[in-house]
Amino acid sequence: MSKAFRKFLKFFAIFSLIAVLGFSDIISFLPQILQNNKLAENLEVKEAQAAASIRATGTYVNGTANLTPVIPAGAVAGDMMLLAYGTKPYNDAPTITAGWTSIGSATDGTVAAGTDVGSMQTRIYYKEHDGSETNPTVTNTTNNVSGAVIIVFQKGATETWATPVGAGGGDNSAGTGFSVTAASDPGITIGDMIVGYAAIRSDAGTQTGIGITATGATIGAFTESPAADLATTAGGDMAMSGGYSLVTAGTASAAPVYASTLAASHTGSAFIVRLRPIPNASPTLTVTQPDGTGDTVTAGDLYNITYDLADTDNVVTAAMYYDTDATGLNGTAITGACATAAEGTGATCSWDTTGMTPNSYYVYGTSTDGINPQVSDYSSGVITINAPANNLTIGVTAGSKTTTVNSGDISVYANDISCSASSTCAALTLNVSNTSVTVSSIKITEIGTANATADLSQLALFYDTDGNYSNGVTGQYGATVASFTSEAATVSGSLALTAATTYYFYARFNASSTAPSYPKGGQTVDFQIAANADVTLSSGTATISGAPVSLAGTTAILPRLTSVTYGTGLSDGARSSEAITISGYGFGVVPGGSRANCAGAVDTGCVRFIVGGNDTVADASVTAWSNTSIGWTVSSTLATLGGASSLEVVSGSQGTGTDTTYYIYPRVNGMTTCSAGGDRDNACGTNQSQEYAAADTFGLIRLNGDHFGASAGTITFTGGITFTIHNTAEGACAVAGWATDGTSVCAEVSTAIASSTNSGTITLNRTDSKTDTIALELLPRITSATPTSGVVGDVITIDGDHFCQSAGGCPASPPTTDYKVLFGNTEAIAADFTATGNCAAQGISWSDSRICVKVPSGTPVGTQKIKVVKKATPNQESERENFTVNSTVPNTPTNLEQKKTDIITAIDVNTGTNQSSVVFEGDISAGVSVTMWLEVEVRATSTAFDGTVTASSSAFTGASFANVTSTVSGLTNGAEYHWRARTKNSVGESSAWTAFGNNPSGDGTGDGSPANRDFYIDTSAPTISIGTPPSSCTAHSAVTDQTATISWTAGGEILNTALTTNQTRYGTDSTLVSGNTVSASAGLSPSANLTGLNAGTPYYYWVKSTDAVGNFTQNPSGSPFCSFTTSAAVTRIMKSVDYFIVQRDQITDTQTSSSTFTLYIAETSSTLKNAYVEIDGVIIGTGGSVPTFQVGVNGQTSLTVDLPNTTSPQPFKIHYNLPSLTLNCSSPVESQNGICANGTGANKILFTFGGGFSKASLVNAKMVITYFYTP
Amino acid sequence: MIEQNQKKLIKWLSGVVIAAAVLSVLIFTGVLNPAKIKKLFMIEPDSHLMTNRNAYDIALLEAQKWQPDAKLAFMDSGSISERGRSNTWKAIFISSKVKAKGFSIEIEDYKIILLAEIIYNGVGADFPTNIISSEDAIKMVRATKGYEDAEIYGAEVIYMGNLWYWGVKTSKGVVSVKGK
Repeated sequence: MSKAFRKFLKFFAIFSLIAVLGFSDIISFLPQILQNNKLAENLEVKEAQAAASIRATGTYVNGTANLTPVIPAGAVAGDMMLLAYGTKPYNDAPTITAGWTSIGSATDGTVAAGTDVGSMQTRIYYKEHDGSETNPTVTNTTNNVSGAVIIVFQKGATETWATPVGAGGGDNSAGTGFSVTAASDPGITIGDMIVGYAAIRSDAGTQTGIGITATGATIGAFTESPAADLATTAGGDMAMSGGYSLVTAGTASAAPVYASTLAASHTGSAFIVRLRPIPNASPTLTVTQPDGTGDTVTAGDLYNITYDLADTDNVVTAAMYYDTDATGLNGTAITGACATAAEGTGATCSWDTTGMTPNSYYVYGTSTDGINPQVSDYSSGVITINAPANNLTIGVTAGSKTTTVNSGDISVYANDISCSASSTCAALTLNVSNTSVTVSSIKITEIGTANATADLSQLALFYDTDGNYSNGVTGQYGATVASFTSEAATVSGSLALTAATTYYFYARFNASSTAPSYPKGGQTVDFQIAANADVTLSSGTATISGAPVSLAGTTAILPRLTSVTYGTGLSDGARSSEAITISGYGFGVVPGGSRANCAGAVDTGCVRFIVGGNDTVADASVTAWSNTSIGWTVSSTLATLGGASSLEVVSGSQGTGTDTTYYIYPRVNGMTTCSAGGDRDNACGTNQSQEYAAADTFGLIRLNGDHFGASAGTITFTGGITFTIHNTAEGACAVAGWATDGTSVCAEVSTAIASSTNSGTITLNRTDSKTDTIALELLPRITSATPTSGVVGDVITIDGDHFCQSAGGCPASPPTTDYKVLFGNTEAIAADFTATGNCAAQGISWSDSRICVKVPSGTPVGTQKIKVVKKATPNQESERENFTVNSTVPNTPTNLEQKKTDIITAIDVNTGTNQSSVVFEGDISAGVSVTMWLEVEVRATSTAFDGTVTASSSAFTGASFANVTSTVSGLTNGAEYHWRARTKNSVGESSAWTAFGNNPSGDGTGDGSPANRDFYIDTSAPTISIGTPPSSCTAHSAVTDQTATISWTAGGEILNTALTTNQTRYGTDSTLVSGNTVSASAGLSPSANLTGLNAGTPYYYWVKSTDAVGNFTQNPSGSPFCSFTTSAAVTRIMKSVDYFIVQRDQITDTQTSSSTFTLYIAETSSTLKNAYVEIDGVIIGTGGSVPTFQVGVNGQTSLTVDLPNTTSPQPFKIHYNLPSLTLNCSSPVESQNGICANGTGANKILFTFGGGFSKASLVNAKMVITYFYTP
Repeated sequence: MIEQNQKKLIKWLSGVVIAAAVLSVLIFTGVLNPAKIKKLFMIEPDSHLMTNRNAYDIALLEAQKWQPDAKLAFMDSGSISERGRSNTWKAIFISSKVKAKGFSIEIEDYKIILLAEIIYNGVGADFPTNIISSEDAIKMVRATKGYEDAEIYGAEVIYMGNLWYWGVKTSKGVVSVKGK
């Protein structure tokens, strides 16, 4: 329906109403009616009705299973799809694809399904096409047979579908007439599309003449769609048909009726659906406020416009306007939220009336859904907007002040000069609301703790209107105020403030005054407009408000360090004990006791280091503290080395903004050097050390001081020579290496220092290259003395270093007061120094590295330590070097002996010699090579030594000689002597006498005791008298057929010397060239038994006696010798006896076994002729080395034999002849004549198995002896 | 006459009472405590000994008689007390007028006991007034780790490398201390 047509209908309806009510009565009411859109709309609803039309029809599908009818082609989004569905059994409860909705169903009874029988269920589903549909599936729980089809309807583009509604019923009457009255009236009226379908229980129930009627409504012709019925014999058979009709007029007052004619008499059910497109509705808008009551505001206020806005089918907004009248919709749009006011009942939108010209205004709104014509509504009353008052507001930005300002700084801003917005820029603000005014003065009051009157100056205000300081200011307001008065400064100027514009004022000032005077660290600066009256106007009027206001945040005064003094000779620091002055501003006035307080109030403070070790200068170290100067002394215990940006002054808890580079330099306060002891007679002197040698600690120095750092520095000497750090605590270094507290370092005085250097400077280099120095004097050091031993007068070369006090200053003629060389306590004299030998090359006896000096006369023998002194006061001397002074004085002779003249035969102490000459022998030596000899003094024991030399040896040149002899002849027979010896050299020196033998007494010591005899002289031989040979000799006796006895008497001995040797020689040779010499018993009456003589045979003999010193007498001394004849032979019996010795157990290891046996000889006068041991046994060897067997009797020479080397038992037999025919005999013993050694002991036989022996058994052992005897 | 004597007696007694009262107040208020009193009346056992400055002052006069430009080169204390005092000091002066010679002065108990020109090679300088005392030097040695208990044998002061050094002779060797 066109818009023009709808207006026509509206006019027609109104005209008709006028006609009914009477024109005259209605005419005055007409404007209200015309303005009542709702009425008009209602009229339109009644007059205008949309209509649906067919879009497409699908094709029937049927079957006994689930059905999926096809959506017909051509269906588009917005179309209404109806799915007609018939089925039996009647009571099935089918489901359908999601999105489809069942409108309802109907049945004709409750007859069970069967072929051509059974009640039918007819049902219609709907779904609005969404543009992308898939064919739906109807799913049965039970299914006899079913059929379905989809029919699609379209509507107008702006229309919407009313929810399809419908109802149905059944016809189970007989006959071919089929009529179903729906169970209810779905509300059928003109324009509605009526859709109906019926399902018949048999395929024979096809329909013709289908129509739908409803009382009160005119329903057009029914269009069967699809055109052909469904008739199926599937399952229990069924038929289905239906279509649609358009209601062309009227409104139904009763339920619709579906009627048709069946091809055969059957029953079935039908369902009717009403489809209705609905035209689009216009929005509705009513502005309810302002209504003129209580609607007065001031421009700039917010006002809530109240309205009702709704649209049933679109989302709409309303735009609000203000208008001076209530007509024409020609007002001015209201911006903000009211330009797009949302739907709602009693809704509001906020109107900012800022800038509104004071007046009374209607408010109206307009709204459109884009489909229907725009709607609008004026408020019923007006809003009255009054003009605002002219206010000058004093304010402040949210931005905080700069947090710190250095005391003494000038032209500093209270704001952060890099700020870029009012939110960050601290500024005082002025804003006049409506009309411009001119500001003639602004009084700024300082309300911080700083004394502005005394310490601040040059206040200036700068302004802009954007609150952004960093992009520049508009200009300075007024002139700079030189000083504060009573903590305030009034800036006068002339600045016209534009209404509604905020002016930002930035404060600049000097943190000092011309006194000069400076604010103190820790004080605060805070600017304020204290009162509204502090802002004055020169033109315009305004109500001033807002004061007091203060800039946000806190500005603290920082102390400022401008200069600091340095230690002597330094440019960036100081050493301990040095007094330092710090100059600057804002230090406060800090009394003692508060000078190490880094976190206190104003007038407290500290000086501290924040680099190189954090530490605060102790209160006691601060000597003065004013607002501009601090005096303090560097303490040795200040625990920092300082560094770049290290020094900070804190005042009132505020540190200097910029910290100062300051170093605490190392201070070498002194050193410790070697102490006396060892090879140093005296300690090293003040700052004196010798070069380091690993063998001692004399070359160690320890630098003492402070701030050395804990490690890694270096110690150097003049010329850049580096000293090695000594990391062992010893000697002068009580602390090794770099002390961890930085107070000492131990170093080795380098040997790289030139020997000519006497003194220099040690530099301690800290790791940060900060240094300190100390002087060092080098003591002489002896590295060697060559040779290491000698005699007085020998030239000694002393090598070392630093022997002279200065280069080229060595003594030309030592010794001097300063320069000395000592050998022990003996000082070398001028004559001892020589420039020869090893010093020839240097041409002087004393250089800085070499001294040639003789061992001084008078130097004691022995170890004498050499020491070099190069300065007397204060003493500068070297350590001591060992030197051995040898003596030329011969040593006392050793290994003294007295010998016969053969120089071989020793004369034992207290014995004699049969010679009148005696050789005295000894070893002579001296410490050095000399010509020397042995001297002896021989005295009768009755005479004491008197030092008179009896005899001397030959002279020998050398250091040592052995077996040097000196012979003394002419000694007296029968005399007794003692003697002593000494060594004498060619220079007349002699050793001490040493007495021979154990002969301390009588050796000249004068103790009065007689001397012990060392030897005596006995040249007298013994005397023997045995008659006249050969036959008249008297020495033989007891002559038998086998034996004889020779005995004699000797005499003539002196000094009671007993005879030591007596012999006799006998034989049948009258010349005794052949014969036997046998010993006779000792003493003066010797005797010898001769045995084994032949019977009846002449024998010859002589006798001989020898005394202790070798004097002897043989008698007769030559042929004829003495003679006797043995008697005739006597008869004797020979006898052999076996003595079974032992039968032992098996022997299983190499060992020595022994057994004893007893020998019995019963016969008298027995003479043993033979004795042997016979051993029988069985041996098992190892198969390795040869087994051995050893046998022996009574310690006589044993016999060792090899046994069979086999691992199988082997017998063996051994005969062992006794080397000596001497055995022990046991009682009863009749005779021991030549058989037994004694009559008490048993005999012992030893067996020893060895070699590859495994085991053995001794079967038998026996001794067999053969002897004869006289019965 | 009697009245005059009585007045004198009264004055004298009054003075005694006032003095006693003042003393009592000082003691009770802590101005004078036993330690302070002891200190006031205590005489250090080595007070009769000479400081090196005492000896130098005496010696310098004699040295300047020897050579007006005499400069101190060396002083030695011999045995010394913990407070750096000695009964005998030996000083050697040098002069630019006399090469390789020195003037040795020994002072004992504030009296010069020896004056002698000696062979001496060394340098000297005016003995500064602000040089630390031998007592301070000993204290510094005492503060050196390892030398807290060392036996002090003596002290010498010597000019070396343009600085004065104290050398404190101890049982553990000589410890030098810069003079200023």
